[in-house]
Parts: sequence; C-alpha cells; structure tokens
Amino acid sequence: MKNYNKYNVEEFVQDSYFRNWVFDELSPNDTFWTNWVQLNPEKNAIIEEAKSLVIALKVKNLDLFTQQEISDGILDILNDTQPKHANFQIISRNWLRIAASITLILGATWWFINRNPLSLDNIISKEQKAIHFNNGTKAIIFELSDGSKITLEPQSELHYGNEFGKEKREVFLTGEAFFEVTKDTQRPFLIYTGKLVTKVVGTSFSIKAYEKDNDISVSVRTGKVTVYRQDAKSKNSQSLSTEIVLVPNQKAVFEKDQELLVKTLVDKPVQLNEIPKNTNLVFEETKILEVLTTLENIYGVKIGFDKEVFSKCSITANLQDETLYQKLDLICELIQAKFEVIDGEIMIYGKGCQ
Amino acid sequence: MLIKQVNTETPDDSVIWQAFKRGERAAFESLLNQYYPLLLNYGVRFYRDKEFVKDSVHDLFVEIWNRREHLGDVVSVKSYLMQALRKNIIRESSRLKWFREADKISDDHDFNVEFNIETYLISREIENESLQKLQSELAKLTKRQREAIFLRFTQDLSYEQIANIMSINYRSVVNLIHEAIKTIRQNWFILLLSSFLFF
Repeated sequence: MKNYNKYNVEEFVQDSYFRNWVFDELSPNDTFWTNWVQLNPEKNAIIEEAKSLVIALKVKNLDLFTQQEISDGILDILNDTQPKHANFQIISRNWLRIAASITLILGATWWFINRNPLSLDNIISKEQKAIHFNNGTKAIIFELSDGSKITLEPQSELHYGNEFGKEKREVFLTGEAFFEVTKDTQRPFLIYTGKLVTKVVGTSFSIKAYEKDNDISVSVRTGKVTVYRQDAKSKNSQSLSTEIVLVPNQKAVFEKDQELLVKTLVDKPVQLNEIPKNTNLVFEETKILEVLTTLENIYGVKIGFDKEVFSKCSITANLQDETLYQKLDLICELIQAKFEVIDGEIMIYGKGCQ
Repeated sequence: MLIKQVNTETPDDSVIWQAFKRGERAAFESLLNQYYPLLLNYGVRFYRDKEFVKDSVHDLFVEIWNRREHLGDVVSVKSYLMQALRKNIIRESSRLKWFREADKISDDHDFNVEFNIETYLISREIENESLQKLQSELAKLTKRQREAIFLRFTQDLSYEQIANIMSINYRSVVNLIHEAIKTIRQNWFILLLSSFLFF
C-alpha cells in the first residue's frame, strides 16, 4: 500500500488510483478513498486542490469516429491482412492517395499543354462533359443551356456532365466566376467547389475557389444562396453551423485548412438595385437612427446598434459617393463609435452622445 | 458520450503479442479491438482529417501484421503502437502538406488538445478577473505540454512510455508535465473552481 499520508498535491494528481476515484471510475464497493479522506481530515485542503487539478486537466473528448466507422475499419484491416492477400499490401493507402493526385495533376498538365487556345468554349470530352476553361487574360462570358449566364475569370474552369439540366443543375468550378442563375425552383442550381457546395434558385453571385488559395469565398449580389459543406449534406445531418444562408452583400468564406465556414460581408458592398424612392444621402442634423436605417435599406445589410444609447446622436454629412465602409467610418467618427462586421451583419458600439 | 477507456494495460498484453507474432488471427483481432479506436482518437489530435487518420492506422496494422515475424518483444503494446502511429502521421502529414502547399517540411506538428476547463471558461463570458487569468495561463501551455499531459492523464502512460512515444528523454517529460501543473496551480483560485464549477 502506498503511503498516501506523505503525498503532496502533485503526487496525488499523478496517481491513477486517485484520479479514477475523482472521476468516479472505481467500483462502487471500493470505499478506500472515502474512508481515507474521513480518517485524514487534516489532508482535506490537499485533497480538494488535487481533485480540482485533476478535473482541470481532463482533456476534452473528440469523439469524431462513430461505432460504425470503428467496426468497418477493423473489418477492413482484417480483410486486407487475409493470409492470401498479405503479399500485395505493399503500397500504403496514403501513397495511393498521393498517386491519385499526381495523376490528376499530370492529367491537368497534359490538358493545359494540349489545349487549343482559340476554342475556349464547349469542349466535349469523351465522357460527354462540357468543360469551359479560360486560359486567357480576360474574363469570358457564356450561357448554359438553362439560360444562366456565367462570367468566368482567367485561369478558371467550369465543367458539368451531360445530365446538366435534366433534374438538377450541377456544375463544378475551380477558380473564380460570377453567376447569374436563371430562376427555376424545380431544378436547384448547385455549384461544387472542393468541399463546399453552393445552392441557389435564381440569383446572381460570384465564387472564388482557386486551388492555390487557402479559402473559398461566395459573394452574393442578388437573391438568396445557401452554402454548405459537401460531407455535411450527404450524411443528412447538417447542423446549423455547417450551412449558411446568404443575402445580398453577404459573403461566405470557407477556410480549407481549418474547415471553417464563416459568414461576413463582401469587400465592397454595393447599393442594391431597388433603392427606395426619395432616398437622400445628404443628411442635415439627422437622427442617427434614421441615417442607419436608410443605409440598411440601400445596402440590404443589417446594422445593429443600441437605440437607447445612440438616441441623442445626429449627424450632418453628405454620404453620396463613398463606399459603405467609408460611410460607416465617417459616421462612427462623428458619433465617437466603432463598427464591426459580425456574422454578415454590422454592429456599432459606442457610448452615445450628450 | 463518454467512452470509458481501458486505462491499465492488461497483464495479458505480452501474451497476446507473442500469439500475434506467431500469426494467430484471434490475437490480432484482440489487438485491433483494444487499440484501433484508441489510435484513431490519438491520431486525429495531430491531423484533423478523419480519412487520413483512418488510412494511417489501417496502414500501421497491416504493416505490423505483414512484419509480425520480424517484430521484437515490446514492453508495452499500447505505447509501441502509439509511438509508431505518431511517427507515421507526423511524417505523412508533413509530406502531404508539402505536397499540397509546396511548403517546407517542418518538424513542428500540431497537437489538438482542449481541456474541459477551457471549454467551460470559453463557453461563458467570464468576467471574473482570476478566471480570465486562468484561461490565459491555460492558453499558454505548449503543444508538447498538452501532448504530455494527454498521454499521462488521459492515456495513463508512464513517464518512460511517454518519453518513448514523443521521442524525447525521460527528464524532459517530467519537466513538461511538472511545469504544466505548476502553471495551473500557481493560480490559487483553482480552489474556487472546485467548489463553484463542478461540485
């Protein structure tokens, strides 16, 4: 039996029997620690501190693998090590994966070399897929069979199968393109960019998804767009955090490394087409509430602020020419406030006016 | 859901290992059942790509099966497998990274460990100054410290086993863990935590 009487806090923390007790992992019959604590009341402080340290040091469980995945994985290994197969297991899986990407890259290179630079459009490959590739220096514009208009930026590729338009409208994009999608509620328009899927009904927006970039971004000009991760949807279990709905002037950014999908605003929010009549951007001693509501309407972007706090603020300014961010900078300077873009909306903070 | 891990190495491990080396399928299966989930969950802490980690663990088991006759006796099967997987993953992931990003291969690796206490502190907007301090102290723990603490307290491995797995010497492991505990202990309010947060 260990001499626990001489133990200090750290020694208790290091003791797995003690830790099991803290986490209630001992058998119910094991009353050693309960008794020990009662018999050694003078050690109470040490025990309490050790207990809280053990809890503080508990590592959060990741739980990324389902029971199904685990049993499938074990079966896989058993299959691949069946005595008759054993000799063929020379190439590792991750090597195969690299080999596949090499083929892909080689394939792509071959294709770059063999492309005829004059015929940029409607290349029908053997699989009867249409591939649009822009290897020029200017954007090219073309229409798909459903009437949707695509503006494809240089060094970008859009391809789709011959099934396009039958039931779904599915296209694959590498690079950057601006989409003006013809409205058709029966056949949603889906754009695949790596792990990210963008779903639209009828709207205009642009997507930037270059292989070399660390992120994929979807910026909306008009209409409504849903963006989600491909794996999330397929499992029929997408949670709110993996699906984002975008309205005009909002942008979704997918960081490939972190696999994070974040909602923000486009770099340069534009005034929406349907600007309410009688909208005037020259303000004279105008209440801030009115100014911000006007901007909200023009850009279709939500602007949040504490109405109480800013109730006494009013501004005089001509905001006709600047971009939205410049306008907000100016307003904030006038009312001694700050603004932030959070989750695709603007928040204004400050102490208010006298 | 918390899956209780088998914390202590069963004394049968070396017996199973011997049987496995003789090519007994039942022994191999028992190793798989015991260590496959554990290795998956260890692997994803380095590289958060489930498929990649699955492939790595798959490769590791296939490799030890194919080379079983040439394998030596091991003191601890658990730490042997963890060490092998760790090496493979760090090597492979830096290779993949290099391949994908045309970046330099670096020795530095990630180790993704979040303590429950951090989750707790982050989940609430803590205004208590001392709790904020604890949070910032925890944030300062290095990747290696986190890995050592994980191996020691979640995987219940000995200092020797940890030294083996992390390919550093015994003294360094002792120091890593001791310093980490000290960092947290220095904040006296840990006592407060025990009474308010958990019990």
